[in-house]
Amino acid sequence: MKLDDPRLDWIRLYAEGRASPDTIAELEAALSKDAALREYFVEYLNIDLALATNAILSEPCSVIPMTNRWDAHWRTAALSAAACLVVALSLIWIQGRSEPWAKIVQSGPGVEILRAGKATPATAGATLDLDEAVRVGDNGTAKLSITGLGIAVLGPEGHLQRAHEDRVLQLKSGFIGIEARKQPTDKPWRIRTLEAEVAVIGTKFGLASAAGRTALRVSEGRVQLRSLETGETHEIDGGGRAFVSGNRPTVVEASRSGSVLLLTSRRPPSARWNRFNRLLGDKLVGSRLWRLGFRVETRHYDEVQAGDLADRALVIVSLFDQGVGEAALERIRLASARVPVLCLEPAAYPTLKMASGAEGVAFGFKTGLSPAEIAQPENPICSDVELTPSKWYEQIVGWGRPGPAAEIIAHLAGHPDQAVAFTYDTAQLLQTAANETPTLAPARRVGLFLDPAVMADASSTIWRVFESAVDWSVGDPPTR
Amino acid sequence: MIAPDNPRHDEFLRLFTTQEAALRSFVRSLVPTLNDANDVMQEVALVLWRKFEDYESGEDFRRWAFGVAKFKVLSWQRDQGRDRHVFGGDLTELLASHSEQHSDQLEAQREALRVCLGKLPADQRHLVDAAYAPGSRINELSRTVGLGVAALYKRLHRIRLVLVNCTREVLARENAP
Repeated sequence: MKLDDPRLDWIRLYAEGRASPDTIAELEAALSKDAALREYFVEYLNIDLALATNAILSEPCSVIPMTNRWDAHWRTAALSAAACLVVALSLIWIQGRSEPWAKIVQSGPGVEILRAGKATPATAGATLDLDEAVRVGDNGTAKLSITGLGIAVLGPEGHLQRAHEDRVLQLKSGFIGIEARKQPTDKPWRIRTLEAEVAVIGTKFGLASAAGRTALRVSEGRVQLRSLETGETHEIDGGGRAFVSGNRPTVVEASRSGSVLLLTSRRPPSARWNRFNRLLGDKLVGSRLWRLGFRVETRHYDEVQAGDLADRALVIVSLFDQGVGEAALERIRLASARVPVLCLEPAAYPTLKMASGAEGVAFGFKTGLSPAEIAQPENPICSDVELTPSKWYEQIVGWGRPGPAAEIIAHLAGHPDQAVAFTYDTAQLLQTAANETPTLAPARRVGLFLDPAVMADASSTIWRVFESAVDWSVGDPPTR
Repeated sequence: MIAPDNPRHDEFLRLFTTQEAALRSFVRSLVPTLNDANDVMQEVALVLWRKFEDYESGEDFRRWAFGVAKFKVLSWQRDQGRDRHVFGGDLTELLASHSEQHSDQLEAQREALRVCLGKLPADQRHLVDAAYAPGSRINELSRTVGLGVAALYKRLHRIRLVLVNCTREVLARENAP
C-alpha cells in the first residue's frame, strides 16, 4: 500500500470519527471489493487500538539513571525522583480533575449539555466534565457511557449530573436505565434522586424520579435503596420494584423484569391520528411508562424484528394504518409470543387473535361523544378510576369484540359486546377464526382504546387506567 | 445468570482475560472509533458473562466470543444507523471474517508495535504518547504542540501509517525462513 493512496485518508477520517456519509460510502465500496485494502484497514485500526492501550505507553519516570558513585549523584537522583513524583502526582490530580465523567454515546432530539448555565445540543461523542449536566427533552433519549459505572440510558424529562461527591450521580428528574459493571463493594457508584438513593452493586436497573416519587425497577443483580426522608433501606433484587415517596413507607414488590417495546408508525397513520401519535410520544412514553421505572424502546412497524421481542416485560402496540401494521405483527409472530401485550390499535385485534373477523365485526370506530360503561368495577384496571365513564370518549372511540374467554371491563353504553377495555389472562382461549386452530393466550393480553382528546389532559384519570393496564399486563400490583 | 462465587465465574474471568485483547481488536475492526469500540466492548463483556451459561467448557472460547461480539456490533450498527452512517452488514461480515481468521497475526502485530515504537524519532513518540494518553483531547493537544487540529490529525495518521508498515516488515523478517 502506497502512503499517498488517497483511500488511506478515508480510513483516517473514518477512524477519527470525522468522515462524512459520502466518504464512508466511498470507503465501504472500496473495502468491499479490495481485499488488500481490507487487510490494511484492519491492521491500521489494530495499531490505533494498540496505541491506546496502557501497555505500550511510555514510562518516562520509571528509570532514574544511577551509578556506583551514587554519592556523587544523589542530589541529582533525589531531585529527579522528587520531580517525577511531583509530575506523577500532578498528572494524577489533573487527570482526576479533568477526566470526563461521561460520554454521550447516542443522542436523540432535545438532548442538551448544560455548561456554565448554557445549553448546547448534545452530539454523540461529546464528553461531560464535572460541572456539566445532560438534559433530555419531553420526547427524547440519550445513551451515555459513564466512566467506571457502565452504560446508562437517560429517558424523557431526564436531567443528570455528577455530584461533587466521588462516584455519586444526581438524577434531578426523569428516568435513567443502568447496565452497570461489577462495582467495588466498598465504594459503589450511587445515584441520588430527590427522594432516594441507590447504591449500585453491579446490575441492570431503571430509576425514575417524577412528581415526588422515585420508582426503581431491578432487572438483574441487586441494588440497595435508601429513602432520603425516612432513612429506610432495602435491598432490591432482580425482578423487584420499589417506590419511595416523601415520608411514606417504601413499597417493595416483585415485578417482571425487562424493558417495554413500543411499536409505532414511522409517520402518523392518518391525519386524524396526528394528535394521538404525538401524545403517544409525549405522554404515554415520556411520562407514564418511564415513570413506572421501565426502560422504553421504540421500534417502527416497518423495522421491527422478532428478535426485538427478547427480554421484554411488555409490548405496546400503538396505532397504525390498516394494512400496514398487521404484516409487521405477523412477521414478528407477536400473537404467539410469550410476552404480555397491551394493544391500543383495534385493527390489530384480529392479527393478535384477540378478536376475529373484519372491521365492523371484530373491531370498529365511532366518532363523537360516546359514553362507556364499566362492566367490571372490581377489576384492578378500573377499580381506582374516578373519571366519569361518559367522558371517556369525546371525539373518537375504537372498540373490539373479543371472544367469550375475555373479560370485558368497559364497553360502549348500550353495546355490551363492543369492548373498549378487555383482557385475556395467560392460557385463556383467544378468539380465532373458525378455520384456525384454537389458541391459548401465551401471556396476558389487554385491549384498550384511549381517546386522544381525553389523553391530552395530562392530569386525566384516564392515565390511571393506562397505568393499571400496564401493571396488570406485567403482573404487578396496581401502582398507587 | 451465574453467581459471582460460582467456579464458572473464575473460568469466565480466565478465558475473558486471555482473549480480551483479541476481542477488543476484533470489535475495533468493525466500528469507526476507539470510543465506539470501548462502548461496544462494555456491552460485549456484559453479554458474554450473561450468556456464559450457554458456553460449554472446552469449546473454542475465542470463536464463541467473536460470534457474540459480531452480533453485538451488528445490533450497535442498527442503533447507530438511525443517526449516523455506518458500514452495512455485508462489509461487516467480510471484516469480521478477516479479523477472526487473522486474530493471531493481529496479536503479533501488536507485539511488533513495541519494536516499531522504539524506532520512532523522539518527537513522534512523544506526540503519540500524548495523543493516546487517557483523557487526552485533540484540540487541547493541538494548542500544546502548536499545530492546527487538522494538521495534528494528519501527523498522527502519518505516524500510524509508518507503524503499520514497520510492523509488517518486522513480522516479515520474523517469518522469513
